[in-house]
Amino acid sequence: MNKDFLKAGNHKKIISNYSSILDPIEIEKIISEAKSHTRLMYELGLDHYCFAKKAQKKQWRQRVSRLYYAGYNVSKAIRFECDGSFSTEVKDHSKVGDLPENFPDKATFLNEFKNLREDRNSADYDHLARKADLLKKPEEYEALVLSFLRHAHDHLANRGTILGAKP
Amino acid sequence: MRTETLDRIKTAFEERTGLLGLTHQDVIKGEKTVRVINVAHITDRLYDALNECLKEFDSEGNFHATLKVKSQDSIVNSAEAKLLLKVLSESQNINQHSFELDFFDRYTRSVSGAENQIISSANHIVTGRRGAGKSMLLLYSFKSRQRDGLPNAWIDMQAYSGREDEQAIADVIIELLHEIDFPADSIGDVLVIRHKIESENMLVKDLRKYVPKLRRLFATISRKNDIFIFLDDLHVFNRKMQNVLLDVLYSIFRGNKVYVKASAIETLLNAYNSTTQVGMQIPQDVQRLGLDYNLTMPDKAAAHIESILDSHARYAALPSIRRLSSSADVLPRLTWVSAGVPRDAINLFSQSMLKAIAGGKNRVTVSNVNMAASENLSIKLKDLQSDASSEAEALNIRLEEIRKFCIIDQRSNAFLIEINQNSESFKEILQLVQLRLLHVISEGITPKEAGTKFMALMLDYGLYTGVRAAASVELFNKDTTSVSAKDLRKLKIFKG
Repeated sequence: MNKDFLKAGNHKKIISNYSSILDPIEIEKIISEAKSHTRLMYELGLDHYCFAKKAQKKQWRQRVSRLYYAGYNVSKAIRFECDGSFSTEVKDHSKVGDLPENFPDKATFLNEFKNLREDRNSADYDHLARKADLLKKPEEYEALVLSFLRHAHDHLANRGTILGAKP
Repeated sequence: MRTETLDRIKTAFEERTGLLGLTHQDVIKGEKTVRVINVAHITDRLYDALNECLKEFDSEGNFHATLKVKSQDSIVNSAEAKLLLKVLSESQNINQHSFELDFFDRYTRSVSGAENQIISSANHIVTGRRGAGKSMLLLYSFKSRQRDGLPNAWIDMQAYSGREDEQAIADVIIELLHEIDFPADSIGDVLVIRHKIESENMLVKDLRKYVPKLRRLFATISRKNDIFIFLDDLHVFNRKMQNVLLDVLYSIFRGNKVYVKASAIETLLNAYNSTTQVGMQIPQDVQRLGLDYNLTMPDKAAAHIESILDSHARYAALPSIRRLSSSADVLPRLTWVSAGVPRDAINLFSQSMLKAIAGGKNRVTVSNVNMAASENLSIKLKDLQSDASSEAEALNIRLEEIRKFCIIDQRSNAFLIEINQNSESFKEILQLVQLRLLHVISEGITPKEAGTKFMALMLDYGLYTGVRAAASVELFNKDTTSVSAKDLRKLKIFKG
């Protein structure tokens, strides 16, 4: 796994711009490396989801926070696979609901991930926040993120990323 | 200012979705106010509308609004139920412009998979009782092709109802020439031929002279893509001329990759005259696509009706149609009183909802459905006048005879009739079935000696409620369970 791969910039643009000078084997290497990153981003999201699922019900702050990061990382994997974009800046969180045109229930995820982001901020930073102040219950977020992971699994697998079993 | 923008967002959302008067709460999240709008059921369509409104009134992303499921006791009075009433009303009369934006979200596929056939390159006549979903199936094909940018023409035959002149056939051809987008280099020829047909009172024999030219014109399009011509409600076109119209059209379309997709009530259809050999013959020239779930398959009819109502309910932000029903008996009763006809079920459910609202109920009850059904008879009698105007009087007399036989003499809502295609009385009964005044409960049973087959039928609910005898009338299979041969054999034979 090449750690510097992501520093080189958008791999889709690189392939497109250098397609006349790169031979097919080189292009295939870039694609293969990109797919490995996509898979790992997806698995990071899945890890967060599994953590949230195992957390005790009363640990609502941890559950909401991890569920948000589950959604965020998987959304990142999809955007990376779709247009090659990747960012580690805080601003990238505003794109959590930006999904490809054909993604199932796209409008639902766009709106609900905004809710989840707002509630993650309360869970992580607001010492006065109570569970009752959440826009949605942790169980509802858990169902939302699970549905997102499943659609994302289909989406990425259909585009050639090799993933483990569907959650 | 903050709340004003959120108010604007909510109002725009209500207008866009048709859900008027929704409740909400504002939740403070840090420095942001989030508006939480309450709905009975959340769908992607609703979120799509809300996201659009947010984008329109808050391009900077300073505000947020979301949806929350909130159930309410009197669901029949909710914004969602009011939208459902509007949606059900819109779905009762189908034309090429119905459900312009979201047809495929709201369409319910037929149990028989007729959709695969109707989109295929072949001539089809879709048959079924009034309200069985014939026009909807044609529209499925029309919209599928429209979505794929394929050439289509939709002719509403109601415009030619009552016409007895031969010019009506020429007028259909003129409308076709208006409806089809011919390539720019053929427009001149189209205008010339249209002008000639329009300028004189054109008899069919004269019209046939233009067939070769018309064939060439259609070929300018069909060379690239086949063309589908939809003739909705062909049965309202003068019965004596239906086969002639089909014959003229077929002479233009045959071998030219142009296909006819018509809908008609079977007993009012005259597609081919075997003596003159004029028309389109089933199945050689045109295939029949039967679209009818009647009370011979009550379980299938009930499932189909429920799925249609469910798809409308979901569109109106309700989780299902059962959520509006006070008990599990409401939908079987609806299937029974509508005799499995989807449009009748839609209409009766709307009427039942209005009765529940007027009666101060929270949900639709079985007695609301019964009341709506008994008042529905006048609509069917009106259909009898419009669909079978020339035979209306004879059919009315026959209907009254059967009603007396069942209600006064036998005190039962069901009866048997011998299947005899040569008998006038049997033919009239079949017409009354198509007009949904009688309903088939068994296509053929043999109660007595072998060789004589009988059809079992049931009177429409409206024909025996509201009369004094109704209470003593024995109701056949009111729970829409499967019917036993033993029960059918007990029914009395009508010898009209």
